[in-house]
Amino acid sequence: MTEVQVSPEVSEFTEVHRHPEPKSFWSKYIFSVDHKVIGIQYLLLAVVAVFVGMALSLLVRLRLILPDYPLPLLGTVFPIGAPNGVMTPEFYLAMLTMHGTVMVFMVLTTAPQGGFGNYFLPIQIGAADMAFPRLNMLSFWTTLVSFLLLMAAFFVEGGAPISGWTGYPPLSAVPEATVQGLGQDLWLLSIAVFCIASLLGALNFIVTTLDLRAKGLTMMRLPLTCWTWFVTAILGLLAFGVLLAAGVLLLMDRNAGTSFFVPGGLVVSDKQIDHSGGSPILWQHLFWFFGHPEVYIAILPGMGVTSHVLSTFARKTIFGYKAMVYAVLAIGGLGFVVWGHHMFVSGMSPYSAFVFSVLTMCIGVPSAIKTFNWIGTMWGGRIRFTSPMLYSIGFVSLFVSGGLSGIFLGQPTIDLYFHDTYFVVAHFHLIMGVAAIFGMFAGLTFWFPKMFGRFMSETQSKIHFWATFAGVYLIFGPMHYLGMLPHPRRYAEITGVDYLEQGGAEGLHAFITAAAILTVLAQFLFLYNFVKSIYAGKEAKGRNPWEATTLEWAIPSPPPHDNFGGKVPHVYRGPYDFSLKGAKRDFAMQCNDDKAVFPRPEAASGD
Amino acid sequence: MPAVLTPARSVPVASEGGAGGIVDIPPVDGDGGRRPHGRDRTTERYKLGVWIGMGGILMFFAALTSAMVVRQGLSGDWKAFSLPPVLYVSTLVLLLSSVTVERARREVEGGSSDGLRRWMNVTAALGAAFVACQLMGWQSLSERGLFLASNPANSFYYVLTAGHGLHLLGGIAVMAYIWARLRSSRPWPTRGPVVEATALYWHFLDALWIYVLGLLLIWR
Amino acid sequence: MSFALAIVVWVITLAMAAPFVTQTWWMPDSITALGDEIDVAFNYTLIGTGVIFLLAQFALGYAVWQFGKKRSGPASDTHGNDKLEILWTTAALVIFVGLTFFSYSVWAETRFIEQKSMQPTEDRLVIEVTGQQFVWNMRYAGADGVFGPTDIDLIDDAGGNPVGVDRSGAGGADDIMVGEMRVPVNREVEVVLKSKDVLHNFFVPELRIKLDTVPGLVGKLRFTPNKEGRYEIVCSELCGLGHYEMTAFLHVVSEQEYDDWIAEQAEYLF
Repeated sequence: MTEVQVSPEVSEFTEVHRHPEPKSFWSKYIFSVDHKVIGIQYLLLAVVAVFVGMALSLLVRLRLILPDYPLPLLGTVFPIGAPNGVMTPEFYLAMLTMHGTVMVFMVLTTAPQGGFGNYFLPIQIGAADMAFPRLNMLSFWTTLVSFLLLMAAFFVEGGAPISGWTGYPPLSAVPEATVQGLGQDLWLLSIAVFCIASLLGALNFIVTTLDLRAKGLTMMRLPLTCWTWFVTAILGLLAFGVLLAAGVLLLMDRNAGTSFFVPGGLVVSDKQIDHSGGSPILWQHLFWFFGHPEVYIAILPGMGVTSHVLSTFARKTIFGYKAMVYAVLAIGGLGFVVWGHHMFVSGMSPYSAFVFSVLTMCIGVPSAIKTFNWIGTMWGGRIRFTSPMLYSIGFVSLFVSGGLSGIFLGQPTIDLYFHDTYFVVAHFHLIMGVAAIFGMFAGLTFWFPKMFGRFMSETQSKIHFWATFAGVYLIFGPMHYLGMLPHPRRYAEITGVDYLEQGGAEGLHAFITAAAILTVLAQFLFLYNFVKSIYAGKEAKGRNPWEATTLEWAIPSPPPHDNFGGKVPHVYRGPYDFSLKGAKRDFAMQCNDDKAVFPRPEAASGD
Repeated sequence: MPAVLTPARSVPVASEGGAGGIVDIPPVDGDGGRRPHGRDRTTERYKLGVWIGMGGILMFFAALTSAMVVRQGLSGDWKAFSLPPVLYVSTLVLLLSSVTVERARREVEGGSSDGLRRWMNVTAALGAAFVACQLMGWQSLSERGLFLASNPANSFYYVLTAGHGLHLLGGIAVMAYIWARLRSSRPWPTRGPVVEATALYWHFLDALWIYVLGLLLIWR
Repeated sequence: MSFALAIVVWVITLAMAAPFVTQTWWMPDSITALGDEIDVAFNYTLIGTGVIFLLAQFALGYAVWQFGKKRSGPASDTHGNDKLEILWTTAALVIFVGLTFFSYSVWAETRFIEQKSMQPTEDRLVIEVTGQQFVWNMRYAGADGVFGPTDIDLIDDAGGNPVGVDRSGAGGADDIMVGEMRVPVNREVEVVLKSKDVLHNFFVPELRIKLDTVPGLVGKLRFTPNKEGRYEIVCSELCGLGHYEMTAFLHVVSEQEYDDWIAEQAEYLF
């Protein structure tokens, strides 16, 4: 272990920025301003949330195949929603709504960005912490408040809201239409608080990326993970403010008698509703202006992790680094101009629908670039089948499967048939749900040795991979066929529609539910592996057990309080210098400038 | 073992494996090298934070603006109303506060702590006066029977002014923090950056108010 | 490991694609000329994306298999290929955007119904459909062909006036309210969509089209069914706890049957 000089003025500015290592339990683990602790807090929140969301989805699946079967315990916990354990249709919708909300906001938005991004963005760019550590802490605690508000919705009179995660008014705006009390208000409040938390987080990520990069770390030398966190933060910054505005207006429609989204002349159960002139479509525009970027907020970090892991374990530099960066930027940019494709059947102008359609199809182009480049990265490589590599390969497969069904839905002509059917459910679960979660699995198994100094069990991770990879295809593959029938989504049971029973929906539902149960079981294996490995996993020897190239692998595991010992590393090369021709070793770390070992240090800088 | 970082501290940073030696070459193309360091650098970062934050806040108001335009165009129930005249007073107050906050900001460089505190206090007071004027505006509207839910035109008036007012209260809260920190004897290395960032944010609130006022005037 | 993973990827790919080839779970037959055109657009998309799906997954499996095997020497030191990059970017653009333009004419026919070239036929049958939690209300204009005025204060579900038809208003006396939709075959039908309370969505799979019913707005759909039969109308926008049972039937019958039925309905009015 030898040393390098750091220019004195660089260390000076980090001194200004540094905060002392906390001593007490509370300041170290609870109200911590350390990005690594906050990252783990986000991850733990997401783990709790994902199991809540998964339990909800299981209830949804069970209700679909056993509508009248009394489930033990359920009647005790939810005496009104599930009297004697038999779920009512409104309880089904409540579970569905909460499943979507918990998964989209509390899992897909928090874990990849707030969790892994928080932990590894500063380290990968050579910084001691995020730009604003206390703001970072505030983001997390605000997110937690939002989560608690959302959970509270289960236990108020009337139960959780039933208007879906999209909360379309008037259903969500007119209490008379849903037979409920405070649930929808808590839901809206939770979303509003979440928006604030995400805005603060996004601000922090952007400034950190722009301002705290190590010497020599130009934007075009950033690891692709950092690029995706950066673009995700920009999306969050521009999208969450819009949802916040929409949420505030809807809260006022519900509670203050305004009419932003509720039109006049409504009659619910022979009762006239006192509103006038609002527009339900306006909500859809505002919601989806946020909602579509949100999809990319969920998936982009997964793309980054996948690129990173594929390159590392194929022992080959990323294929077309620049193209990958531009593709991420293109996906982010296009994400803001395609929201109308969620509204093809809302009665919007057919002209705008056509424009939205063309723009939507354009997103297929950067997506295709990414897919080809991932395969190109593996092509000619020397693949090491570690568990993060398996998850990343799974990600690519799921991304292709889930992405291509979007080609159907992006064309208004064909969307006329598929809109609001299980085809859509299959599409978005594969691409933004499961693919994104595979990105998280890859990230967790990849970075676990860095975070905890121990490996997760490779055997258990691999068993989990095989079960989950097959499981999610068995769940969401058949949903496409349900969509063909066509099975409308958000139906509590199939008894109301003749053609569903004749078309074989029952059998498909039973199959899907069985697959879902098996897949859920596999997740407990992962949870066991995760928890146990924290204290009993195989120790990760050395700093760089995967022989990776980026800065986090240059520091001890787990990293010390201020990451780089109060100094700033120098970066001399691009992030994925693997198997350089003529080099004595098959990887060159970003901070390594040893010309004897690597004759071509500038090879893959991407500049 | 090759290395990467200095030994000045007890936590060495190194890459794994391979040969190597002490490496000490200037950065190839570092951003760090181009920028100022120390306190100036922190100031830049704080101000960058405010600039980025403005993006988020602007999107919030852009959403409200588009909602307002759409809502007005959609239905026949929009009733234009004349804005309460006190808004012009509040506008003047806020413009004046932009001048005083700029005065406070100039005290950071070479100026006295007293001067800084004085001008910050004046600014906060003007901010409070602005909020008071806005409340009077609400009062005068409600006296005319124009409440939040009376008409969409009124709804948007209340929402936009409240949205701006809350952001302004946030600014006043930061000024209260500055006031408290200036009173305490603890060292405050980020004093300059915080003041600079606050001043920038305050100017932004000023501009935002002009925008909101213009919107309310034009899009009635 | 490498071969096993490749096999799993390929098997999943084939298993996913197979039912689309065998059409085990499939759309019901279309009953309009427009529906047939939509099916053509669907088939082109299915073939296009199907080929890409198979190629991409097979390439993925192949790469995993080939480069996961034990090989001597280091990985190849390549960083990309601009020509390839441009090639597949262009190909993706042409295929994806091309599909949209291909289906554009069908889209125009479906939705640009206010346009001159898409003018409705003179003798079209206009039916007003009003969604409410959780029923569909169909209103026929009756013998005079004129819909009577409606008044929100007259709405009375129990009293059989769910949309508040003013029977004393011009043309209102003979309006027919029913819970099913019956139309003669080969005659253009215009459905005027409204909602009393929340969003609903009028969807008949055999027609291949759907449209939200938005309270405060009026939507229009036109179609000319060419096959007699009984088809289901299903609500396709979440409308509350009874969403799943908000169904009704569209009966496409012969001209004679339709005339008899409408005459029968008119008798109930008096």
